[in-house]
Formats: sequence, C-alpha cells, structure tokens
Amino acid sequence: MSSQRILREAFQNKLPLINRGTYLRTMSLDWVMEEFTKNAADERVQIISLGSGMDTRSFTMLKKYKNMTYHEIDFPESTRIKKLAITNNQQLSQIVNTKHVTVEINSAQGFQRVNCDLHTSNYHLYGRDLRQVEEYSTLLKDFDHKVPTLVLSECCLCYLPMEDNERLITKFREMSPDLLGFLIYEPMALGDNFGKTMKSNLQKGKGIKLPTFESLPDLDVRLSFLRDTCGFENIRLTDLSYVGGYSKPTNKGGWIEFKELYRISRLEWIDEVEEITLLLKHYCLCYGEYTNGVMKFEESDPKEYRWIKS
Amino acid sequence: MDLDTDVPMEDVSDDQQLLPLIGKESVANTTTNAGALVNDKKDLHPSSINQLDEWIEKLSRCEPLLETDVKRLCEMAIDVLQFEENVQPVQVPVTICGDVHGQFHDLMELFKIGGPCPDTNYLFMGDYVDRGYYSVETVSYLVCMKVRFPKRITILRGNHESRQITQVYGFYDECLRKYGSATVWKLFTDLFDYFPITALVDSKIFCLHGGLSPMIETIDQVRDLNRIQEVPHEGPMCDLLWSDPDDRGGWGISPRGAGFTFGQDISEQFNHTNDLSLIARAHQLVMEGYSWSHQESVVTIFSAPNYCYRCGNQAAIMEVDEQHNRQFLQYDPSIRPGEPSVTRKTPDYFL
Repeated sequence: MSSQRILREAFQNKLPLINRGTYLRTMSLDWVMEEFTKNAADERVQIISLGSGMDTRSFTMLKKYKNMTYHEIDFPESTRIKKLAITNNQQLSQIVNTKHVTVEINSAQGFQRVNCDLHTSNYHLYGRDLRQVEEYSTLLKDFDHKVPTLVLSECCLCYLPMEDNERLITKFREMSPDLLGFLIYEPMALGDNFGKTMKSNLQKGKGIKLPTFESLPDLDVRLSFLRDTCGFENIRLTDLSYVGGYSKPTNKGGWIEFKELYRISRLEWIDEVEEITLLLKHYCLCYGEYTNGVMKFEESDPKEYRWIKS
Repeated sequence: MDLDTDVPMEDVSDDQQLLPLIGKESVANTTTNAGALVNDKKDLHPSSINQLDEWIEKLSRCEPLLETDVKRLCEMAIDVLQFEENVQPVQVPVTICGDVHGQFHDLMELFKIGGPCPDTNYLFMGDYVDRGYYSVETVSYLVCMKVRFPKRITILRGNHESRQITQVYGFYDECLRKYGSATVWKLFTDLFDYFPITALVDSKIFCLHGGLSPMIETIDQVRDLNRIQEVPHEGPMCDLLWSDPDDRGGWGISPRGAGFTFGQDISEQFNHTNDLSLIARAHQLVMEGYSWSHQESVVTIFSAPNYCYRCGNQAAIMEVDEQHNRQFLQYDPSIRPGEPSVTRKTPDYFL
C-alpha cells in the first residue's frame, strides 16, 4: 500500500458530484446507525464494521454515544495502520479509552511486529481476513447476543464472491441474537450502459472485480436475496439517488430537509444533474435483520419516501 | 492549400467586421478607418489563413498550440466574436450540436458523422471545456475553426465557459498541466466573455445552452443584455446558461444550484410570444444523445458520447435542412487506435 497515494488522493480536489455522493453516503449511513441507537434507548448497542479500513465513523459515534461498543474488522495491514493512528493521537486514544503512546515505525519489519488488534472497554479492532473467520461469536470480544447489534458493510461484501456473502451473513444468524441488523451500502449494475461502463472501467483501470455488482444487480434481486436466501426480516432498500432527492417521484429533497438541500446545492454547483442521478442510482442502501421476534428496528419518524422497498 | 480557395474567401469578404484578423491595433481602427482596413485585409489575410490552417492541422492531431499562438488566436477570435450578437442569426442548413466537454476524439468523430466544416454549417451550443481530458485542444480547435470560417460555424457560450466553473471542473488544472502556468486559461476565459449566448436559426429555432429565464419573455430582451462579462451567479444571463426543462409546470428551483427549471406552459408561451417553432438546447446528459420535451417544443442535444468516460450514453447532433426538416444523427465513442486505455485515469466511483 502506498501511503503517498493515499495522501495524494485525500488532498486532491474532488468533483462536486463525488463530494455530494460521499456526503449522501455518510449522512444516510449515519442516520440509520443513529436511529438504530436511539431505538435501543439507554440500552447498550454494538456496532460491527466489516472492512472498516480508515473509516472514522467509529470515533464520531463513540464520542457521541456512551452506550456503544464498536468492533472493526479488516486485513491486518490495514488495522495496524489504524491502530498506530489511534494510539499516536491523543484525541482518538481518549475516545476509545486507550493510552496515548507515540510509536515511531522506521522499517517494514517494525510495522509487521505491531500487534494488529486493539481492544479497549468500548472499541475493538481485529486484523483478520473476513473470509477466514470461522465463528464470529468466538472472535468478537465481550459480544452480548442480547444487546442490539448493527453490522455495517460499506463497500465491503461487494468484493466477496456470492457464496462467501451468503456464508458470512448467515454466520451472524448462528449467534442467535435478539436483534442483529445488517446495513449494506454498495454499487449495483442495474443492467444498463452505465453499469457496463463502470464494470469495465474498474476492471481495466483499477483491476477491481465486484461479484455482487452483477449478481445482485438491482433492488428487486437484492430484496429476494436478503429475504429468501439470507432469511432477513424487516427489510428496507433504497438507492442513493432517492436519498439525495434526485429520483422521481419523490422530488421532495429525499432524506435531506429542503432548506439544507438548498444550502448545500449553493455550496458547490452540480453541473450535471442527470449524471449525478445516474451515478447515485447505482448505489444501494439495504437494511435487514435477524430478530428473536420481541425486538425490532423502528424508525422514530417513519417517512414513506425514505425507502423504495420495505 | 486546397482549403484556401473559394468558400473561406467568400466568407471573409462577406463580413467587413472580420477584416482585422491580426493584431490588437486594428480593433481600434474598425470604427474609424474602414478604407485602411480593406487594404489591411488584402495584405494580412492570406498569412492569417495560412497561420490558421497550420494551427488547425496541428490541433487535429490533438497537439496543443504554443502559448504565444493561443494568445494570437484569442486576439483574432475577439475581433470576430465581439461583433456577433447576443442572439446571433444563423441560416439553414445547419447542424446543431450540444456539449463536447473536452472529448476531443469524439469531436473529430462528430465532424466525420456530420460532414467536415466548412462544407457543413455548424452551431455549437457551448460546454467545450471541463470534464474530458482534452479541453485545451477541443476549445483551441473550435475557436480556430470559428476564426477561419466565421460564417460557417457558430459557437455559443455554455455554463462551463466561465472562470469560476473551469476552476472546479478541470479546464484550469489542464491548462496548468499542459502549459505550466494559468496564462492560457486566462486567455481563453477572457475570450469566453465575448461568445454569443444564444442563436436564432431562420427566426424559428432559438438555440442556447441551458434554457429560459423568468426574467426573459421576448428574444429582444436577450438582445438588450450586456453579455461581455463573467457568467453571473443569478439573473437572466445566468439562467439562459443554466436552466433546464422539467415535467412540472411553471418555474422551479434548480437542483443544480443555479438557473431554474421551466415547465411546458413556459416553453409554449415563449415559443408563441416569439413566433418560434422550437427551443434547441444542450446542458443535460441524455442517454440517446437527444431528447424531446414539452411535446416537442424543446429538444435537448448532447454531443459527448460516454460522457466523462463513465456514463455509457450515445451522442447526437441535429441537422436542419433548407426546408426546416430535422434529422438526428447518433454516434458512439470514437475508437482511438494507438491510445492505450490503461494510461487514462479511471473516472471516480465510490468504493
């Protein structure tokens, strides 16, 4: 992994449509997570983030919600970097209740020697290949199946073959949770020219293959996969163009208050609305849950335009 | 050169305003000393033509001009464009084109599909720069063609022909990358201020980049605008370059953050008031390259196939013949032999 590349990409100016899409992605995932947390009232909540990479959501959420335990799983190379970033930073180490220690790494060997896990009272970081985890109940420290749990896959499961997707998801069912919600954000092909171009661009340009992109090409197929294959209940699906208020018939500002939408529209002009609509239509947000029948996820203020299918 | 024969010479002699093709000093002369200019024309013109043809040939290989040549080109272009009208009259037959957005190879494909200029008359409705990787070559080429064949090609201003937008959407960065400084960006964005903002084909087809404005009811009101300025954030000139037709009636707030949306009632009223048969505009990606709205009172034309190397759309141009018959020609991205696709930057996705 080239840290130079990561830095360069982080500071490069991005097109407004990419900034807007990132905002909608973050805002909608945050929203579901916060609703899920509110749903649990003062009870504890567990979050499990799959392929969490350098996401910072755990820090903002843990700072805000004291009743939350956050689990993050990713490849050891990635969790080592994250662990060092946390322990080297006073604010981050304070948020996750660990000691602030300045560690300098000067060699590849030194980096490899860093323990890839970090475990504190509210935060757990695991350096693992998701496909090789046999049982999540033994991996996850302090996991309590009675505590409402939300599993987050933000562009993670889309990299796994379909069989691994199914196997991984249903493994969580074996933990007999009282309430375990799955929140998935990833691209889908929709069987159109944009999808075909995207597949070829990613494959040729970046060497990326996304098995679910074409195997779960639209919301209908995803609904039946989540319901019939994975056995989820209380399923909700939408696409990000709906979230952003770009898709008809809603046109009500989607998940964003009209005033806020107007404000952010003036911050950066979107030069091409059809293009951003097209791009965002190819990203879905899916929720489904395993439940004991007593507990279930409910939105505090349900709106009929929030989800395309539920 | 073959191209130096009849057609272009007729073009130029048709139009007195085109005479001072070289040098700033002749701009000042236009109003004071027409006689001297005619002499100037005879002396200066052939060399200008040769110069332009050289530039065009270089650009058609997708090689950018030298900075000093861009400076000369822009001076020559101001001499042509400053005398064009806010509502530039255009005669049929003409081929009307939409956004190009720096997709130079697709522009060459467009001229293959529509026929070479000046054999075919062209009207481009803006957005030559930004997004694609060859904005410099694309806008240089079109401006060269404009100066070379001023009566054969009309180039309107799009919302991307602006200092502010080009700093966000790529043209500024591309100039910096290809020339090492912002000089060429400055020259072109200063030139953009002179581009006409609308055109009127045979008094019947009103052509512009975006759409209508709640502050404009008649075409004469467009004629009254002072267009020689940066595209404003709001007001009639901004709206003409930013607005979109919409299924909802009346005026609406645009999701783009600038301009308005306008309904069928608005389009029909405007066409009726101004005795028009059609509003032709660009500005919006349409998957088939063209798209009718408002019961054929508005047509959208988009001429950048596989826009941003990502959208998978077709492109189109609209031919209007002497009898005002319209024909759409659709095309796909050009195949670029010898251009390794792997070196191209992959467009952004959320991953």
